Amino acid sequence: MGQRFTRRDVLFAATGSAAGIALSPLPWKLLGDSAIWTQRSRFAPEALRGDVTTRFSACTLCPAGCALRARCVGTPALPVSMTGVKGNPVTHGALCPTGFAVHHLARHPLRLKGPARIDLRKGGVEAVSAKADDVVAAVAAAVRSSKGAAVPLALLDLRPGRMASLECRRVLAGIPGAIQVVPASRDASTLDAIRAQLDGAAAFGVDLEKPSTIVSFGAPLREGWGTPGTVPVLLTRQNAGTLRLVQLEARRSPTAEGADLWLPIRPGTEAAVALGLAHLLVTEGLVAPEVAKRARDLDASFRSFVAPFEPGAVERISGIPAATLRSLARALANEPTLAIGSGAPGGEPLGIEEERAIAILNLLLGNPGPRSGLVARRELPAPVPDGALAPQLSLAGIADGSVGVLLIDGAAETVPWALVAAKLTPASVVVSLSPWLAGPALHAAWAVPAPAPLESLDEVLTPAGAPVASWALAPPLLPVPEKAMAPAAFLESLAAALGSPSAAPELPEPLLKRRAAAIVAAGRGKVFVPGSSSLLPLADAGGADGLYQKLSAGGAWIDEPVSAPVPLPLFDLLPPAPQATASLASVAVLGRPARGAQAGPNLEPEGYVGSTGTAPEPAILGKLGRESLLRTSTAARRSTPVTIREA
Amino acid sequence: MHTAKKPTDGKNHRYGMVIDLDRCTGCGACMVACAVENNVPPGDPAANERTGISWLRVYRMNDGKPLPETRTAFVPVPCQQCGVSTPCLSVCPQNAVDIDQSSGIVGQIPVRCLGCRYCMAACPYHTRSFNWWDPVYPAEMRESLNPDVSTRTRGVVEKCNFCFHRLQQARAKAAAAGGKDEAPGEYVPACVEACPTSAFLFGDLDDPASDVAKAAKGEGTFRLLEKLGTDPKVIYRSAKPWVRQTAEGALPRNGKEEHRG
Amino acid sequence: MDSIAETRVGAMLEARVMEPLVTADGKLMGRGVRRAPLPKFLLGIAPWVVLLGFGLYGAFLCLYRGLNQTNMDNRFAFGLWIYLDLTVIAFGAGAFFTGFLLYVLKKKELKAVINSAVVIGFVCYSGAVGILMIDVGQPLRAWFTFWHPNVHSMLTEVTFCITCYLTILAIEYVPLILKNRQLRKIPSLLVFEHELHKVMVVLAALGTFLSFFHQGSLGGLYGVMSARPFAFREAIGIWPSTFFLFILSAAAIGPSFILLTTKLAEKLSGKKLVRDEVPALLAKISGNILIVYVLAKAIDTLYWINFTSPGTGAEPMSFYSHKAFGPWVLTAEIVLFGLVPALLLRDGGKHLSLKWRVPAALLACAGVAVNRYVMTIQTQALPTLPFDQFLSYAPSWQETASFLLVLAYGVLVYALSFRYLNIFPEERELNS
Repeated sequence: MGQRFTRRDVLFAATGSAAGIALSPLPWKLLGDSAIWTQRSRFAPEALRGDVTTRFSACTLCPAGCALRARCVGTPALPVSMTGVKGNPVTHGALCPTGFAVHHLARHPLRLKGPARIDLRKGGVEAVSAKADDVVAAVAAAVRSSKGAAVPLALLDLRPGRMASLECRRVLAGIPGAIQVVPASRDASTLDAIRAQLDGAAAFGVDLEKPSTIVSFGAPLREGWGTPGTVPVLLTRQNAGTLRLVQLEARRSPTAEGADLWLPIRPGTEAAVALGLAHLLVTEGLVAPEVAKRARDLDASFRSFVAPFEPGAVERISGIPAATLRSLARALANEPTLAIGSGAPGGEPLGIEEERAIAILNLLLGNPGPRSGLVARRELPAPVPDGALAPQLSLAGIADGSVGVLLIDGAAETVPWALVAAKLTPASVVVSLSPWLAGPALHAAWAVPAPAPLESLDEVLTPAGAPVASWALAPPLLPVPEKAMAPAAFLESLAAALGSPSAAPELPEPLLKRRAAAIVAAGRGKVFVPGSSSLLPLADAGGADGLYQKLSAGGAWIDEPVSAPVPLPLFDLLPPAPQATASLASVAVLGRPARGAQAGPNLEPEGYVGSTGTAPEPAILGKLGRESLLRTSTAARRSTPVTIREA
Repeated sequence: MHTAKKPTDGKNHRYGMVIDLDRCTGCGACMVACAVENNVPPGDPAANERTGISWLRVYRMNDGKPLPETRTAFVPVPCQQCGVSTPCLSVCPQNAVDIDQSSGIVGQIPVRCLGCRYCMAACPYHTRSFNWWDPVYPAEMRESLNPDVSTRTRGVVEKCNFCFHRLQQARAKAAAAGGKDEAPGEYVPACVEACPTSAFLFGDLDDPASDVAKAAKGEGTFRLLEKLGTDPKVIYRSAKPWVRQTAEGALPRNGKEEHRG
Repeated sequence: MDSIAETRVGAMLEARVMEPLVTADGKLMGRGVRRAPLPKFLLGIAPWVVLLGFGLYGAFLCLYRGLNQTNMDNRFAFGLWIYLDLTVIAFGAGAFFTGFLLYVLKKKELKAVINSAVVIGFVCYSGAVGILMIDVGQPLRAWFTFWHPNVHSMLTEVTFCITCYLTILAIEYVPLILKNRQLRKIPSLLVFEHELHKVMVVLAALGTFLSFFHQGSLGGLYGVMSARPFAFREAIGIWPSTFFLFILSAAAIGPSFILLTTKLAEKLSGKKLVRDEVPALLAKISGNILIVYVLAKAIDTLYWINFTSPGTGAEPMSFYSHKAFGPWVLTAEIVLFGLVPALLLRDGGKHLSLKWRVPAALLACAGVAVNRYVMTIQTQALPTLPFDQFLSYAPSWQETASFLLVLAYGVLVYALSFRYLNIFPEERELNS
């Protein structure tokens, strides 16, 4: 029987197969897979592969220097995520949101990979890469041509006190007229003012476990004052009801929101409120007898000085009702209270006058003393420098319009630009040593980017306000770009170009080992070991090398608290110079105009105030502002009940 | 994705967390740590709080009093990992949502997701995010993606899974050591690890010895929208009555909520 | 000179282009029916063609650039499209319900509108499927639902029903096309059409079942959301009450919508297309079912207010405390858009209601539109978390354009079908 295939059979077979295949998952699966494939290759990069390892370092983006535990992948091991180090007695395992993405920052789009000339263009800033030699030559020429300026060359060190800072000073010493400038610490400025009042009797820190009440003049206590690690300590006490937080702040900051009492004052009236409280303490007889004994000018001149700051007057200046002020003063006098100032509403540190007023309030409240937690602390041991050092001045201490060439070492612009700009001559040249085209670089003519955080061996000093000294190391986790230049190395080339060659700067490792040796020599303190979360006595650390090894592996050295009370001198409440007294009175009466307003929105403190400043923000942090309602809007941050009423 | 083999004879767990609202300062570290851990790309420049991708969102709430007396609290809301009549589970037309029986974790399988968003409409906690844009990783994230979590494409839904890959690692570690079960404390999601104030407690709610199980039964605990009967495994705690009442919805809405749109 | 040239070009165009077109147009029309002259027809559909183009552009943007082109977001996961899908499918219910009445309940009068109903059903369902394909994030994965379906999901029901029923509607639509004057000339097609007719009753019955089920699933879509207290309804059997309410409401307004489209076709073509008793019957059926629906809806609402909603911890009136959705929404939906048209439509023979038939049918259709709006939009706008806020949503132009695409597509398919296919069998008789 011959079977004949007709055309119809073929057609049937073809149609049937087509339908059959269409009903099978095959074409659809291919379709789906190709859809995934096309989308993947375009948008999703391949993740690193390889062994997962844990390495320790510290975030050196800001002076808080939080300890980091990095999860690294591959060879060479590169970090993919960060966490705090649990059990660390300094940082308490805490990190600010930026800290979780600090490893992103080295590859941030604003990262400068090498020396550059900075062009201010319409609609933005651009970095045009330049040869290192050319930049050095240009800066040297600028230094030469500013010979007439009071300070031809200054290095503004935004993280002062490091061994690298010392090394910079050593190199600078070779250049005639060159100085190092340090800004006031935002978070520790009240403590510094108290120290100044007491003729520098001791350095002070705060033991947050002690005071029953903290009166904060804008200090970001719930956002990380000094270091984010202080927040859990504060919260625990606040929740337990053993600490009352009174926030005097113009804006509704996260700390104001979380305070037990928020008193929204008019911006710039901190001094009036502090002196108003001082007035009440004095006039209502709330000053303890032992304080009255030590304060030489309490009865005579001080009484008349604070007389104008009676509650009614302070209410008119600051907007705080007189009755509230009265009850606050009485409450403060009855319990161990500490007053801390930090940060004006614009984001800049409080002025000298405000800090002095807050210091006066502290002294009247019996501080420093064991009950309120204002404790004396020892300095972090440092090796004796060999050779001459360039002079170090505070930013406030140099005259306006005096700096010819300013080098800025640091990424986080913790000082408002307006304060720095005032010190410059009209023809000044600014060189940014920040790794990014952000913050200081936006005001500079040249950029000589230093290694970014996590790219070079660095050290972490005692955080502002800490009750004891501490020290840790930040070993590098990321490769450093070829053309990045450490500030000391740039200074050395600059010195050579200026015809005053200095000795080559020492490498970080031997430098830091010298600090380790100094600590071992001092013989105090304990060593924190991560992993076991234990504290070793320094004697068991294995000498300077052993200490260095332990700190390289994520450890930290912590000083012992000062046990014996520090003998306190008699003191004057009012400053000795009549001009200083006059300016204190004038600031208190007139208030201080907000300087931050001109400094631009970048200085709006948000999140962890003062910790990140204007270093670039990792893109992933957009979640906090744009992709959630977590951050209050700029408008809300600027407005308070007082300003709303006035508007 | 959610087929981690239990080490033999390992018993089933019911992982959950207790979040102490009194310890949350609203800093957002958990959100950032979560996004870094789970390769969540930063949103498109046009993304906002309603179109961005957040596996964990921190809400802000207040007691409705006028400024400056207003009291504020923050509520971190990850996927609540509903244990009973899980709202998103039953609605998915193609089984892209599943529950891992050994851990109680509700998982999302993005490669199977069609992007119909029915699960998002069904979820009362709004913890699910849709990829409205192609995920674009900036240069800074390209070389630091977490190798344990696959990236997603446009047009699919994703959500918190209590860092399930960390559970898988903990189990692999236990199995390699010859153990039968992951050790308590060995498995901790990224947000829990990240919280600077230790507001999160995490662990097996069925293990009476665990801190989390004890805390879950402690004073001042509650769950969000408890009356819906979804048995969430995220438990909140606050000693402040106004926080509890507001978060539980016991207080009438003041009707003055901001109208957003 | 110019004008002469223009005239010549014009004349040439007319001779070379228009004449053959007009001839072909005439040949395609049904025998014995009169249609508007071709230029007038083309002019009439021109705006819709433009709209179609605009809609295609909007849809292209949504597919190419992604759903960020819409104004939907993580809270408003469903927007204009899902709302319109639900509404359009309810309107398309006329197809299945007329089929059910004609083939199963043997209401012979409805033969006059069954073809029109099939076209409307096809337009509505194919439009809905089209827009769903834009609405999902990964349209290429649409087949996943068939490959690993979750049988507990209402959306699985919806997907299966909608695809099956669209296939049936397509099969029902095919004979209409094959009956075209020109296609009838091909013998094999005629045979095919004849064969199709034999299975039509089976298809109608199956289609009815699928479509009933489908309408119900769409209702169930919201009713099963046990964690969204505003939408959640308790189950009767295995389906939430919205399952049945959606079936009832769709069945109620299906005939109304057929009535409206027929009246519109009559108005636009200037011809009588169906006998007087047909609209009367449609209105009566619509009214009767609407009464049942309104009653059921009222009972359901009362039960929800008193039992279901308090059971989920939600104060029912809190759902109506937000500006845009006051208690009036509920009242309007049940009374103004429910009870009123129901009563007007029911008494089909009375003089008063004759005059009000069209407005009443409009009200009835609007009522279902309001119901679907409330279920889709209000459900999502209302906050569930106590610290969350009421949200609003307005569609983007791309979303609106994609919707207009479906509208233009529907108008064009109906217009072309009306012109070239015999969708009102009584037309020739009534206009001879």
